Amino acid sequence: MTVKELLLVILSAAVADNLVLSGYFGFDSSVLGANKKSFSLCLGAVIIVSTLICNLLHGILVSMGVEYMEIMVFALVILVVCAIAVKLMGEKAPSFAMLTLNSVLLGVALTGHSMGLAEALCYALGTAIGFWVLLEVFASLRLKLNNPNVPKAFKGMPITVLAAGIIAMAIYAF
Amino acid sequence: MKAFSMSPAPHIHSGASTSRVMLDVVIALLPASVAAVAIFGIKALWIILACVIGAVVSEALFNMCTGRKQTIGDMSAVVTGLLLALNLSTNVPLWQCVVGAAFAIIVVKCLFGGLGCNFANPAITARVFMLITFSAVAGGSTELYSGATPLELLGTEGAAIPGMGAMFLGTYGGAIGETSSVALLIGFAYLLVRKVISWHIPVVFIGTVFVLTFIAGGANFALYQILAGGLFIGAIFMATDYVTSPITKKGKVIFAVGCGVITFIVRYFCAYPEGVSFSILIMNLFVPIIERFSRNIPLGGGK
Amino acid sequence: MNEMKKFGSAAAANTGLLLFLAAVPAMGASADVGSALVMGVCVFVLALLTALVVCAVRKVLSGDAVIAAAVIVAAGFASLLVMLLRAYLPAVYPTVWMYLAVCAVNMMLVSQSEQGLAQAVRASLIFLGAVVLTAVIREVLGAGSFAGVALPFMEGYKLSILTQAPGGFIVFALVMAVLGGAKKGE
Repeated sequence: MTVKELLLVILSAAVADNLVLSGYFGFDSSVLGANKKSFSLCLGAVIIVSTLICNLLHGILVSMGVEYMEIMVFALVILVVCAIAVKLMGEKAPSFAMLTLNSVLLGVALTGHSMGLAEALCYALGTAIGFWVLLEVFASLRLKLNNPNVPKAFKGMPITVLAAGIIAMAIYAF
Repeated sequence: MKAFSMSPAPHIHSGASTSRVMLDVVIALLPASVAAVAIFGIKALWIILACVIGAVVSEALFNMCTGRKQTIGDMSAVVTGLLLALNLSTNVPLWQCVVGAAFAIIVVKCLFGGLGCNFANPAITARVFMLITFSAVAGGSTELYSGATPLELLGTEGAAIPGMGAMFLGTYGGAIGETSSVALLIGFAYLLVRKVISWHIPVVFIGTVFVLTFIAGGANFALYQILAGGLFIGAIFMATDYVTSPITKKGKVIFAVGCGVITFIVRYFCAYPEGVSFSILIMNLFVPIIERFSRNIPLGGGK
Repeated sequence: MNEMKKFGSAAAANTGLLLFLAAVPAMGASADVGSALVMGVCVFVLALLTALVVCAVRKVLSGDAVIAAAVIVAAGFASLLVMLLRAYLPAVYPTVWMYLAVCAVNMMLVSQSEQGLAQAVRASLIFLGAVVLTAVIREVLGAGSFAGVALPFMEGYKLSILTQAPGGFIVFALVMAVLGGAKKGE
């Protein structure tokens, strides 16, 4: 693919077809993890690494004819990558559970599984960037969302989901 | 004065001064409303009424059902309803107007905690909501002036587009409140004189779009572009909403530039001919971040 | 590990949190009633099986290893379910399979499986209710149909945003508020 096409892949993965806002993936962790500073960077790195590995493995699996093992293999890869990431980051690491148990990792891996390597890399990069921006936005909106005037039934989680809905509407133009 | 609840900035003044501000906004919107009815006929009046009544009733019902103090006296619902109405074209069925107004008030404002607690401008969000939900909202033809809006026409080759004079007066197709630039400018002047808004956001927003369009297509084209679509009404009345725009001057400028850039991008590269609504909504999301940044910029320069 | 336990018990107690953790598959499969039903049933089966295995495994492993084990087990069962889906329910498969796959790493599933069989069952039933409710609203008001059957009285009154992503968030938020609030009243 040409450079321009690859750039478009990055852009669309970050904004237009943002996995979180148009596919709901990663929503739970994008909100829960928004408070830890290291989380978004760590997750971003893990997204890129694990998607690349999964992309390579997909080719191998297909040639071996065991494509149906994909989900399990990807899950395994994600577990391993997350475990390594947590080990590497030492003190500043987010908890293993928080890092692994989010749908973005598996979502990106599965969406990008049949792309070419360069395209998959760009896709993962775009997703990581878009995710990071989204985490920042959510973190900054936290204060407004937690104000005491919110109706009781909506306090906490529901209002955050509602906010995500409005954010999803905002990027609908792209 | 009432006691303040512990909420983050911006803080809302006591009810009296809020309604004074809202009244000023309504007055500022009167020229555009009158122009709307004059240009588009009685249908425009129905739309305005549907939206305003829908908004006020929604807020009243919400407060009643949740046992809260009635807030319709502060006239913010009237403003939201009026702004939404002016963003719609006469093609929109009245029931959709009511749904949109209810969405703006109940979902975007009340559920988030009411006046001052929302992060997205209700009228803008409702317009986007209606854009996505219903198809007749984005510009569209009107009874008196048939044909698509200028922005849509610009996209098609060889189409006859309204002249510059018409663009200023507003005698062309589009949403009922956005077309008459003259009427909107009168409103802008009123708001400036009454010190309700500062000039920064509208001027920088429109200026950014002008500059970018100028680079893309030359002076005449740029002038045309800024008069077309909801740029004036958006920049003057909705981007300047206290609650959803930055407080600091630097913040306002950043916000306005962002709006301008996104409007340009959406108008040129995306399927929707109307970028203003999306751009304001997107920039609304970044307001807390912008405020954080603009506070950190020290007077003497960088770190 | 303590965090997972904390999450698990917090989610078991607070329906709003529970639904939030399950938001991704819930919103993903709630565009129409058919998908919602399928997803709900699949999640129920998945939760049941995963909980069974995890309970057995928990005696031997501890800490993050339990999470890893739960994920692998869930992934395995999810793969099975996805294959079954592709074979027997091809209409629903394209939209739903990724969300089903993602359940393997879903916080709700893993934390509730850890809590025990009863909790897992309870959680997935709540999930089923929430998803179907969301789907009913989204499909009836958004597409004017119910489980694929067009509803004549909705013609011309459809709110098409509801079948799209933003609508999913918004309706699910409403459902969360309703269900969360209802539980509090108990």
